[in-house]
Amino acid sequence: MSINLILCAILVGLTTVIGVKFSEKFKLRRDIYYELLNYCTLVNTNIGYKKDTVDKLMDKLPHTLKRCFGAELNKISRSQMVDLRSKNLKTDELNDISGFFNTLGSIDAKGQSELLNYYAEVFKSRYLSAETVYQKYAKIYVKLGALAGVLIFIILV
Amino acid sequence: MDKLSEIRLRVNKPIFIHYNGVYQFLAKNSYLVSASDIEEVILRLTKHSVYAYEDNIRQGFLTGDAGERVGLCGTCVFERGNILTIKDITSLCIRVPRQVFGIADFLFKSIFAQGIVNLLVVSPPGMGKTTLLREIARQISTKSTKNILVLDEKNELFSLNSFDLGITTDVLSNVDKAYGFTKGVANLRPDVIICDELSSKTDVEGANFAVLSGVKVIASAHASTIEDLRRKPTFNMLFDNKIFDYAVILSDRLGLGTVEKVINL
Repeated sequence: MSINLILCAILVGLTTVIGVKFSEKFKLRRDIYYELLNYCTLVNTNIGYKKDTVDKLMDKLPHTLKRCFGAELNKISRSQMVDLRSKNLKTDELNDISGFFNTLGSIDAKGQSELLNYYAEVFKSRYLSAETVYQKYAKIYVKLGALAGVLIFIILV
Repeated sequence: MDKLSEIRLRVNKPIFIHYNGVYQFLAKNSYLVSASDIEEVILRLTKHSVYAYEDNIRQGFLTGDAGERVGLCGTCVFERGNILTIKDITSLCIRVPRQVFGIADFLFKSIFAQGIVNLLVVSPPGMGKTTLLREIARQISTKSTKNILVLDEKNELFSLNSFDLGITTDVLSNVDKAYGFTKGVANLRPDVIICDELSSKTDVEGANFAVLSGVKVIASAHASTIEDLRRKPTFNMLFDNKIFDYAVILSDRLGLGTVEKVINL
């Protein structure tokens, strides 16, 4: 009996972890947009006051963005265009994010600030939608994972 | 590189350099500068951050990390009488800075022998005024414990630690001179203020304020002779108030930085 319980717990644990793994892409998408939104605010504030150069602003890139796009974004400090790739985002989303980074530093402060405000709006709406999707599907994947564990246990035992 | 003092890039023209005291073309028949070459240079100078340099662009220059002053020539864009920017840049005049140790020795053996005096370095552009000021700063700092404030409007006197200006020198970079003179005197308590290129009435008023506040001022101005400088209305106050004790006139007659005259004003 106790062996069965242990087996069930292990199975449920494993399948729940798989469920969490499946839900991570929703979390990552949400985190990317959350960080992009914050980064827009940071850059906008900086441009209005300290006016750090783009290479210094890139040093302030948040963790998730660095992790997902760091290597490609390094090109910006070398004045090269970026072309971001990620399996967690759609092509048009990646084009928008690439566009955001490619326009950094290309125009004067007023124009840059207006562009940042525009991108902040885009990222905000995407963040809100990503958050909704995450809240909805992340829980489902975790629950489905746990349920799958129980089902496998029943079938096996 | 020591003999290179200027590089001129013009769209669809060969590179023109001032090397070893002589202007000459570089690869005259094999390479013409393109618009994208100019754009690339500007992108690198601005570190791909145009917003961070728009004030400099508006004033017609950019400064490289090693203090290279790059003059911009293109189409000026005005808004309500004020220059907004320079666009479609077609020419760059890159002036290579240098530090020449010892070129100010003659000053310390003559007019600075009894102490620092208010000094104006006068010459046409490109005759070594900035190099001389740099060396004056270094030598004052080395030979005395005076606190020196350098007003480096174009980031070329000091330029990110590229030059040795001495250990008692403070550098106020990218600063409007009028602001630098008044706030510098008030906040940094300098013994000597060194600044390049007095050109506007407010610059001269700033220097006057500093001198009347008991701070020695060493500055430069563009003119071939002291008489030419007197003819510039902007500099009336300079002579009326006898702001400077001495003027040094430079030329390139025997090479850049040739001292033509030292005048007791």
